[in-house]
Amino acid sequence: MRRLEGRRILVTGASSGIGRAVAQRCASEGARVLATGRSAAELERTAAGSDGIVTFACDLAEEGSAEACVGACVERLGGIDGLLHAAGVVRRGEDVRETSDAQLAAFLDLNLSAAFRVARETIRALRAAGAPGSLVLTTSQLAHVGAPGYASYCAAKGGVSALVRALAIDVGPHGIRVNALAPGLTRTPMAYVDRDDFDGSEQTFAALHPLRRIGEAEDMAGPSAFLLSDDSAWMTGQTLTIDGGYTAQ
Amino acid sequence: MSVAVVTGAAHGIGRAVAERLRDDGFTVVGLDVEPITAVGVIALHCDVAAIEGHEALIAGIEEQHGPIDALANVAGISLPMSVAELSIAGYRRSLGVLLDGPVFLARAAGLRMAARGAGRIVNVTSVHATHSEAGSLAYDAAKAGLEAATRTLAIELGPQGVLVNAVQPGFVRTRMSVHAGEDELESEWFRSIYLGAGKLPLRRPAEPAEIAASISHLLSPENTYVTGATLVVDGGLTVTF
Repeated sequence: MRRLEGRRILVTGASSGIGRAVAQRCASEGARVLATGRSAAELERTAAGSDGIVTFACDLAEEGSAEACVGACVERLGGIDGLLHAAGVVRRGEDVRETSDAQLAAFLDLNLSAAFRVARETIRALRAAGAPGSLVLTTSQLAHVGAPGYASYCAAKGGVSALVRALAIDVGPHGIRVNALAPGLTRTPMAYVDRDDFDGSEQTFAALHPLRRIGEAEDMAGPSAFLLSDDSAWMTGQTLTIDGGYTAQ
Repeated sequence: MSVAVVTGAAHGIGRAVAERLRDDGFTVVGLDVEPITAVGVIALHCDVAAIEGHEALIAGIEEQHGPIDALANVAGISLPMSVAELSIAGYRRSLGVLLDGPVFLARAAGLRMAARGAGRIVNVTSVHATHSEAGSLAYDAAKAGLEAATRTLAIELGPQGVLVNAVQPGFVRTRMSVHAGEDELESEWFRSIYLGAGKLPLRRPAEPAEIAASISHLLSPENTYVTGATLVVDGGLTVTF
C-alpha cells in the first residue's frame, strides 16, 4: 500500500526495534522519514536500502533535543505531517524500596516527559504551518495492566496514555489527531533489558498468548502506518493494543 | 481472490465496508434483509437473527465462492425503548440481530477459518458497549455482550491463526442516526454539546467510509498481531467527559 505518499514523518527510537520497523514501513508506503535515535551507526542500518529515510542522531534525554528533532524534520523534509514516537527505556525487577528520587526522575523524563516534549514540538510545528497531522505515541500493554517489578514503567506508560487523551481533545479542532500504540511483549533489544535469559523463556511467554507467539517489531509496523494514515481519520485519543490477544484474557 | 462476508451490506456502515473491501480486492458477499445495491457486491438475503441457518449459509457461501478469509459483522437495528416500555419481543429482536447473529456467524465462519489456519473477523459494536444511554437498554447490553464475545472468540481461535476484533464507532452519518423522523446529528443538542462545547474533539460526525477504513485495516494482511481488541473509532467522543 502507498497510503503515506509524500507524507513527512518523524520517527524516534528508530535505531532499533519497533522504531526501525515503523520507519522502514513508512518509507515503503511512500513517506519521507526523518529517523532519529541515539546511535548514528544503527540509524544508517535503518536507512540502508531505502531512499525515503534520512537520519538524525539525537539523544532525547538531552535538553533541547525534541526541538532539534522536529526542527531537523522541518528543515530537511520541508515540514512535518506525522510523528511516531517509539523512543523509550524499560526497567524490570524493580523493588520500589530501592528506587531513588534521581532514578525515578530520570526514568520518567525518558519515558513520559520526552514523549510530552516531542509531541509538543510536533504540535507547535503543525499549528505554525496551519496543517493537519497525526501523532502516535508508543505506550505499552503495561499502561493498562500491572506486572511485578514494573512500577516505574507502568506509571510512565500510563501517563503517556493519559497524555494522548488530553492532547487529542486540545488539538482535535485543528485537525490534528493523537493516538497511542500499545505493544505487548515484542522481540526487540528492549526485551533483553534486565532479562538476559529472554530467549530461554520465549516458549513460556508464547504459550501465554492466544496467538501462541510473542510479537515481532514488524507486527507493529502495519498498525503504525494505519494510525499515521488517513485510514484512521476518525480515530483520536485512543490506544491501539497490539499484543496477540494477551490482555483480552 | 480472497473472500469477505459483510452483514448489513445494504446501507450505512455495512455498505461502506462492502465497497471498501471490494476495492481492497476481496470478492465480497453481502448479507442483508433489504436489497443490496452496491456495485460488484454479491447479494444474499439473510436475517442475521435467524441463527439456525448460519452453518448452512456459511457452508453454501464457501461452496460457491471459496474459503472465507474475512467476516465483518455490521448489521444492526435500533429499537429505542425505555425500561418501562421494554417489551420481550423488542428486547429479543435487538439481541437477536446485535448479539446472537454475529456470534453464530463468527462461530460458523471462525471454526472453518481455524481449520484452515487463518482468518480475520471484525464485529462492529458501538460506544454504547461502554457508555450507556436512556432508552437503549437492549442495544447497550447487546453491544457490550458482543465485545465480550469478541475476546472469547479471539482467545479460543487465536492458536489456530484466527484474529477476532471489535470496532466501536461513535456518531456516524447513517440512517440509524435518525430517530422518530429527527436526525440526531442535526439536532440542537448535538450541535451545542458535541460540536459547540467540544464533547466531540474532531467536531463532526463520521462518514461510514471512515469506519470502513478501520475495519479494512483489521481484516487486512497488515494486521498480524492485533486480536481480542476493541478499536474505538469515535472522533475522540469517549476520551472526553
